Amino acid sequence: MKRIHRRQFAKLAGGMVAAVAVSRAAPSLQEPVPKLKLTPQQEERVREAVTRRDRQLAAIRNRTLPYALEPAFVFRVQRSAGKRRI
Amino acid sequence: MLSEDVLWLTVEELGRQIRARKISPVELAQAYLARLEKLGPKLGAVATLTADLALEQARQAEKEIAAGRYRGPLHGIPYGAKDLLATRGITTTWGAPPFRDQVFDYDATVIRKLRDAGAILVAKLAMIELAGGGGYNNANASLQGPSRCPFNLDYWAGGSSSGPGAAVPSALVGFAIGSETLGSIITPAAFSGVSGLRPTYGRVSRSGAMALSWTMDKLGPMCRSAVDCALVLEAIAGHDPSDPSSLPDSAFRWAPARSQQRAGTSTPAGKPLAGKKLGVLAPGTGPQVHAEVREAFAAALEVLRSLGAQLEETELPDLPYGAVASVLIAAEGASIFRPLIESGKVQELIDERQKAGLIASLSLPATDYLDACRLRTEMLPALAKMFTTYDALVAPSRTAPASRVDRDFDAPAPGTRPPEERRERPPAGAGNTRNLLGASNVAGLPAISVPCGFTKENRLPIGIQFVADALREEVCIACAAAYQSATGWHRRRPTL
Repeated sequence: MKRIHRRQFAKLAGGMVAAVAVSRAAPSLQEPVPKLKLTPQQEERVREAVTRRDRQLAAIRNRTLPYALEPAFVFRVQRSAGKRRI
Repeated sequence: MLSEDVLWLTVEELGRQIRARKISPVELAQAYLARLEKLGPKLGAVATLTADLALEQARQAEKEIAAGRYRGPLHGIPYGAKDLLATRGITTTWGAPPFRDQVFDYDATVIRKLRDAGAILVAKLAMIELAGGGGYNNANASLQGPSRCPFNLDYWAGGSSSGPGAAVPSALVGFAIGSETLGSIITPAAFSGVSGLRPTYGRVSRSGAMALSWTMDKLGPMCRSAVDCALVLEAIAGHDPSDPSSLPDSAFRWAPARSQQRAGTSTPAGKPLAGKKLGVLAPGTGPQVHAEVREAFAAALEVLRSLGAQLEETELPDLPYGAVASVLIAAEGASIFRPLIESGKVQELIDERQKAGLIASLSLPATDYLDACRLRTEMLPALAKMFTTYDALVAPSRTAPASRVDRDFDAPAPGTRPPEERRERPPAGAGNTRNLLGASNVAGLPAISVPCGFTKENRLPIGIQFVADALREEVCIACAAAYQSATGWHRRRPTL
């Protein structure tokens, strides 16, 4: 059994170079205790899952989205329920 | 002593008899509990029996009804809840070994609303582990083992609301509550011969339900008739401040005759669908479509036409619905289950593909998730536009009947060609069934699946689905109810 932690998930699952670089640049952040261990067969299954996902993602990645197209969720600021200035 | 026939009655029929005090809620609860105990294990339908609570609730219902305090059509009716709904003091396993001993100290809003309506919780029902969020590959992916199709026990009941799928047509409960993120009500409804309603996203509070995808999860009724789905929806719909996605105007009232009168559209006798225009998404001739599904669907269309519906073939706008749905679920599910995955407890799950899918989802780039959210913005008006032409869309619920419980899903379904022959994509723009499942879930649209036939050889149910515009559940329920008034598929009983 091989030990693996989050950074290795990213490497194993591919495509997370930027995230790894960011986390290296922030050494003060506490790393989670790595506990997940994968067998070689499981590593292979994860690779297969990523391949399947990437095949599916092609339908999204191959599209050029209009610049003004915003995500289908809305961030709203919240006003304080306390005193209001007059 | 109740006759067994009583247990097969619809909620509507049971309610009438309970109100008239011809059926005792206590005797009814006892009869369903006995049946759950006897047949539940055979069907793999049950997670936990809630006998003590059920009998207490039944006694209270009986007392209230005797005193003339009738609460409504669900008063005294026993039901089962998919085991992802929190129930105070009762195990809620989410179908997954890591959560086998999980107990909440509160009730989900849906459970509370049903209690207020006088319904009686007799069982927590089996489900696929974590509602299948990582992508599972066989029916055994559940702490409770495979749930079986009551019409043929060698076949799967469908998932992830597998327990409700097995329990409702076997008369183990009066009705059940399931959940759907991407097909988890429609699929077991189709595979097990259930009438299953997936309400509009935000119509029913998700508070207290296991989250798999905050923007895709819906809770809905699984019953023995379309009208029953309407009656249950009345009780569970409505705004809930504890669910941020709950819509403010989400109460639901089932009054088809009155709304027709208001709209001045009363229909001629025998033509309840006169004036309704339905967009038909033909299943196509692809190898993934089972021949008997095609035949049953064609026959169902003839019934709809005879009921007065105007039918017109149509196609969905050409957008990547399936990919968008998958990315939304993978990214949101990864965030929700990250502690489970990173702690290593994910290894306790049963299905290897599900484990791999969850682990892989941790590395999904945020840009892909955001692009999926942006495409969702594009999909919403494109789909809404279809309902300016059509009252509802109609399609087979699934392209093939249930698979065997002992067979992996990536093996070919009976009556379809093997995977190597199925690699070709459906033609662009084709309104195929799989696209409709993705599209309607991404857009949060309501849908109902009702049985429309059975395969000849294996006696497996086949379903037809009606999809309506957001917050127009009454339209798809009315179509399904009209169809059921002219057919008897939903009345078929399995031999157990």
